[in-house]
Amino acid sequence: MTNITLGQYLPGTSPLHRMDPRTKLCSLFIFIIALFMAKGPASYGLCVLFTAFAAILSQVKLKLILRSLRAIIFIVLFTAALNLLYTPGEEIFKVWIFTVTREGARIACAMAVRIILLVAQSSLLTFTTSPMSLTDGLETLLSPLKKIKVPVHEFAMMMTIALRFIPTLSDETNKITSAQKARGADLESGGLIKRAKALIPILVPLFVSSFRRADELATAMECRLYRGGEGRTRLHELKYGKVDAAGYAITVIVSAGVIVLARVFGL
Amino acid sequence: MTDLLTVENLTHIYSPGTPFEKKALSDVSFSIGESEMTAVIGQTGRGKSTLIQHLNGILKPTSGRVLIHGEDIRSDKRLLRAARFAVGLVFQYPEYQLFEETVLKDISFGPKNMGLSNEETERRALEAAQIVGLSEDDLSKSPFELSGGQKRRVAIAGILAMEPQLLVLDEPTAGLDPRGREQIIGYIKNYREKHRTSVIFVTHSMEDAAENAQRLIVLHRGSILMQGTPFEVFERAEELKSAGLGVPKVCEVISELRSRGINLKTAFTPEAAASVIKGARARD
Repeated sequence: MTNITLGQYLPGTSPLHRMDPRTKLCSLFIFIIALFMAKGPASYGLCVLFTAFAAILSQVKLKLILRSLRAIIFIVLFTAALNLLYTPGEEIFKVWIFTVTREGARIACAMAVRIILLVAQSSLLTFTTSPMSLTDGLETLLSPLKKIKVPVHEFAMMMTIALRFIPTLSDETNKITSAQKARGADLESGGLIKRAKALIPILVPLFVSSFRRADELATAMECRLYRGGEGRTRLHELKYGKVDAAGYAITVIVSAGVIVLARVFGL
Repeated sequence: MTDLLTVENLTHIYSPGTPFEKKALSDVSFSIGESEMTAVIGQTGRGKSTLIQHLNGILKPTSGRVLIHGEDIRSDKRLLRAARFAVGLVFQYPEYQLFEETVLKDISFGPKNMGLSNEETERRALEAAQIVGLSEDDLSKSPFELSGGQKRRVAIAGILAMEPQLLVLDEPTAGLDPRGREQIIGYIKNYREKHRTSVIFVTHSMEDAAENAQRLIVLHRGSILMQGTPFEVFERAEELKSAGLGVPKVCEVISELRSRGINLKTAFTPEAAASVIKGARARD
């Protein structure tokens, strides 16, 4: 079965795909700070423009980005509604016990834009970065923590292995499910308890094979004398390039612009 | 009379509309008669496993139909469920599907799902266990205590106990030693003789196919390259070779002898080849 997409990574060659994962992670972080300091229409507008620019640059289809936003539509509406109704201030109109104020409307809009941009930017990161390079990036970014004895490499290795085995296990689950269906297992009908029971023929073999795989992997790692992170070199060294310089420059300039607009001019 | 199973213009595409789109089968058609033994041959990753998962309705065709006794199995839910039991599917490495506490319970899982009475379930389970050569002692053991070969036999018994009209096996001998292979093939043949079941088995071993099947279906790049009796298929040795499939070793010997000017008939099992060669020597 080849139809397993891990996370939502879409292979590609856009500038955003070629960017170092560290750049993308740091840029996202800087942008989020700026986003939370934004105040008026001008500063939020700049944030929207920046996101749109990144989306175009990523060459990810608009449909896919919108699809990732669909999951949070309820949260957006709920947050907006709460802010709209419960912010005290200058009254616009009143229906029964609900009062809509000018301040409420403003905050509701700002909140909605904020959440949407946050999710859109994070989706762009996962759309354009494979989980493996994401862990690599995180490991390198967090490596200063090694000084205070945080086992950064080990955590990253655990994450890498976990990610590596998601497609394998999901493949395995598919196979076992098909095999049990071929034996007439009924997974779709019945109440909650019956359905939970119907999972036993799938979960037991899945657990057995996971333990077997873990055992085999551990043996294979030991055979190659794996002893943790100390003194280890990498096959793919992370290297900054031109695209990263541009990425940092644009992010920092835009974010500074947003903060200045919001905090100095109050726009 | 309609055939037991008919596959019409079957096409299957994985993940259509995404960058991972992959065409696994294109326009495959064939039919299987009552109590026939058919081998599906092809290289790994050429759509064999995809094909067999269509036969009992686990996968949904992108286009095309699968008919059992002339009825489209996707035309209603009842028929789809009936297809699960009419076509018994043994997956590759079936030993990884075992889950019950005892071997007997595991073999009974299929018949139980068919809604059979307890007596009938037990009768079938015991018979299936006996066919694959499991002893009384084995039946009360946990399936996880058994050796790899025994687990494989338990898994096959689990399907045999459902007494399907068509038994489909995906590389039933993969990863077994020569003795294990012979045993498994022997069990399947015995079962088939007893129940007059049609059998399809997937293999990449030309020898296995030549020796055991009455009909061959050769898959190449997701479509049928040729189908017919072993004789018809192995006559076209050159085509098979250019598809990267090869022919049984015996065929190679025969064609080598032919190229040295000895007039021989086509043979594809060691026994047949021996008698063909003996015949030629007697003639000279």
